[in-house]
Amino acid sequence: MRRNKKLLLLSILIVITAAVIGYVSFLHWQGGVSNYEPPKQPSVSPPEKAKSDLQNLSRAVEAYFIKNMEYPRKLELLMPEFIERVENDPLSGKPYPYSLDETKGTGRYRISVPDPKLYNAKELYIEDGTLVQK
Amino acid sequence: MAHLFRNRFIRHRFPAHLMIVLSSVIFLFFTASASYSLEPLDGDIAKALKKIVKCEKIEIKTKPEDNKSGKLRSLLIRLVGMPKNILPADYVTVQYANPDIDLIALKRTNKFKIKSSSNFKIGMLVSEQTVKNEFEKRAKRLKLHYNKFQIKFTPPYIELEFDIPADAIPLKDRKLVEKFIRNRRLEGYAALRLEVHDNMITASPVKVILNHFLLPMPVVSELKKRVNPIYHIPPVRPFDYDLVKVDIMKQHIFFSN
Repeated sequence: MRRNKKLLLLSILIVITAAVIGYVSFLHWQGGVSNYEPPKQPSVSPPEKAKSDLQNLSRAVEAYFIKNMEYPRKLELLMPEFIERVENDPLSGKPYPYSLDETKGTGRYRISVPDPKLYNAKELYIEDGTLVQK
Repeated sequence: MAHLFRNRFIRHRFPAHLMIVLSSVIFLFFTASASYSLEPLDGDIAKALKKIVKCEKIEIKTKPEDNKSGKLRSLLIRLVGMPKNILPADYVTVQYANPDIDLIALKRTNKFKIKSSSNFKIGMLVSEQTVKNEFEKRAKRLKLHYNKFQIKFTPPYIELEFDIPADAIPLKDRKLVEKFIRNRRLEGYAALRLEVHDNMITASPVKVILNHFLLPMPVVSELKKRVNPIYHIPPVRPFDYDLVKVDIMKQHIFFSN
C-alpha cells in the first residue's frame, strides 16, 4: 500500500517535471529568431473579411485626408503609404466601388461591396467611417 | 410754391444718395457676421492660430455653402510639423462642418473661436521615421546605449527588435523579467498594439520574446500593467478634443477623436 503511494507520488512528480520541462522547451523553441513575427490573424468568413476590408480602407482614406486635406480620388492612391494593397471583395473578386460626395460638410466618401446580394443584403457599405448593412 | 419745391428737391437730392450709400454700408456691416469673405478669412484664422500653435506651417481651407447664404460649409485646418518636444506629430488636421466662427473676436482681438459646428473631427499622423527619431532622441537623453533597436509598422501591430542593456529598464520592472536576463542584456522581439483613451497611449504587447524565450502570457499581462500608459498626448490649444482611436498604418500611426 505504502509502496503504491510512493509510486503514485513519484509518477506525479515525473509528470509535473516533464510538463515543466516541456513548457520551458516550448517557450525556448518559440523564442527563436525565426519566430520574430506578429501573431497570425485568424482566418475569417467572407462577410467578416469584407467588413474588415471596408473598415481598413475607410481608416486609410481618413488618414490620407489628414495628410492631404482632401479625400483620395481613387483607392489606389492609398498605396503604399497607408495600406500595403487594396484588397478585392472576397466573394466576387471585384474591386470595392469607391465614391466621393464633396457637396456636404467636409465631404463624404463611400466604399461599398460590388454585389451586396452575395452577402444577403440590400446594401453593404462604409460611409465616413460608419459601416452600414441593410 | 414752385420755387420752394425746386429748392427742396435740390436740398434733398444729395442726402438721398448718401442715405442709399449709408444704408448699403450698414446692411453690409450687419450681414458681415453671417457671411465670410473667404480669402482674408483664411489669412485671419491662420494669423490667429499662429499666435497660439507653434508649428512649421498652418494651412486653412474654407468651403462656402452652395446656396450663397455666405455661410461656411466646412473649415479645415492643417498643422504641419508640430514641435517635437511638445507633440511629435507630422500632420494634425482639424475639420469643422458648418462652423459658426466668432468673427468679431477674430477681427478685433485676433482670436480664433468657433461658436458652433455640426461636426468636429481631429486626426493626427505620426510617421514611422518620427517615432524612430523620437526614440533615438530619448535614448540619447537617458544615455541608453543600445546595440539594436528597430521599429517596424506591420498593421495592426508595431514590431520591435532590440538589444538593450538590462539597466535600461527600471529596477521594479526588471524583477519581472530578471529570469530572462542574460549577460546583463535584453535581446529580443515584441509585437504590440496601441490603444488610446483620454489622450493617453497604452501599449498592448501581444508577443514578447526575451533572450530566446517567449514570455508566458501572465508575464506579458503584468508587463502591460507596469509600463502603461506609455505616452500622454498633450492638447493642441485652442482645440478641445479627446483622442479615442488609434490605427497602425503602413507608414504612420493615425490618431483620431
